[in-house]
Amino acid sequence: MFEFDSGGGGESGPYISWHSNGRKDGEAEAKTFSMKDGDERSDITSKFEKGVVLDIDKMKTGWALFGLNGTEWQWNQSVARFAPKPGDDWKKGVSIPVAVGKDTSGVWIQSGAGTFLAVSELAQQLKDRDGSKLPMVKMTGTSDIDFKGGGSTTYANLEVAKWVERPECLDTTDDADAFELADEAEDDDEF
Amino acid sequence: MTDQNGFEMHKIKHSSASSINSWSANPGVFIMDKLLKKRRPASAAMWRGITVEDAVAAVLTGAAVEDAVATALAKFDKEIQFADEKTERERAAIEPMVELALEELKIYGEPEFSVDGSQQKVEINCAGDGWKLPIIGYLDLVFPKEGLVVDLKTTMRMPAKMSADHIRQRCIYQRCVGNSQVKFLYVTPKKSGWLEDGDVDENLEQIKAILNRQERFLRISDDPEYLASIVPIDPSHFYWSDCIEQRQKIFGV
Repeated sequence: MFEFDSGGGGESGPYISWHSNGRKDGEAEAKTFSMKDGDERSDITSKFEKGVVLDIDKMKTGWALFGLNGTEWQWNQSVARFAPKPGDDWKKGVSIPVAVGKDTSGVWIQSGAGTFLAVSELAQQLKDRDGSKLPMVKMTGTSDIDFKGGGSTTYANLEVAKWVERPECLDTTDDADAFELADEAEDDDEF
Repeated sequence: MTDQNGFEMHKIKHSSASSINSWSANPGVFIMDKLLKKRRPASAAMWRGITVEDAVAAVLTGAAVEDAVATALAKFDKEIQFADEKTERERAAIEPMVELALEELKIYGEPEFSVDGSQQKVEINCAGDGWKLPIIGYLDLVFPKEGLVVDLKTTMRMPAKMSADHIRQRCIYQRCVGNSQVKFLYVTPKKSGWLEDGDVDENLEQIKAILNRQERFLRISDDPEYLASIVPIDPSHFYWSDCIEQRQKIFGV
């Protein structure tokens, strides 16, 4: 697994990541979610298991290019359309603001198969949206998948538990900050 | 001990080509769909097929091609709310498939549909070992003046010959429509081709054998959960590609 960590440097986040395999630096176990705020990374898998709220109105999909100076993103105009791949090394990814607690939010901004599969399977449940409410989503397990061309990954099974009013901590999320300041990106696996 | 046959035990009132094919290839999908009533999500490929068929039928009955294609794309976009490069490939295939299908079909004139504009329903009765069950189907395009029934198949790769699934479907329809010819028109984004494989009598006997086995399995228990727990599951089958989590949740595999 390719890992990249800018070291934080005091930039704002926090940034949520899915780890299909554990981090080599031991900061995260396999099949867990973590949230990095500055230099501090914490395991938030239990929060996903209890339920987190996803801001699907600000959800983006696109292509990410991992580089030594950070990750470059090209976002789609909407999640209903996907632009052609800009080049060989680009990988599909998503950005979603997530409320992990009453007053705590982060941005799940990540490329790679494990992330994209989890979100695309979840997306099938979003057709049942209740008005403008947001989904409270629970992680119910994980699934393994082997790819025809070789390689495999593990992704989180996310289920909509209920639809809730927008939490206050998501009202202030500025999606411009979310991806301009995302100088750390973790590529969870090959795709 | 019940006097009911396996189909009656599970309130299965009819079969169909898709049901027979699903049972034959991947019985777990049949159980999930028909007994546990948990449908697989419709894939981008399914919506590609549906929207192309609708557009072709619309043009053959008087709509402008541009309007029919626009309607098809709008419907596809409405159903596929979360895209990736695979869904984009399916979307990009819609217009060329509509055009290729129309090139082949326009010579036959306007097709005939049911009074309400829906596809014509056909039915044939199958009598097996201690059971009887109607097999129903819906015809895509019927050209009575030409003595022709066409089933339109959209696909990304042109087959050299018909699959066993499609042969079964064609033979069921052929038995239902009698003297009319039943042909399958395959369209890819780049080409089209006609096929009409399969001996009707031979395939109907095979279908009866498949249904006999299915009935015996269903008769094991009236509990769908129990049947789900003993049915063999092939996780590598493409039927599961869009519902891996669903399969794992229901079958633990």
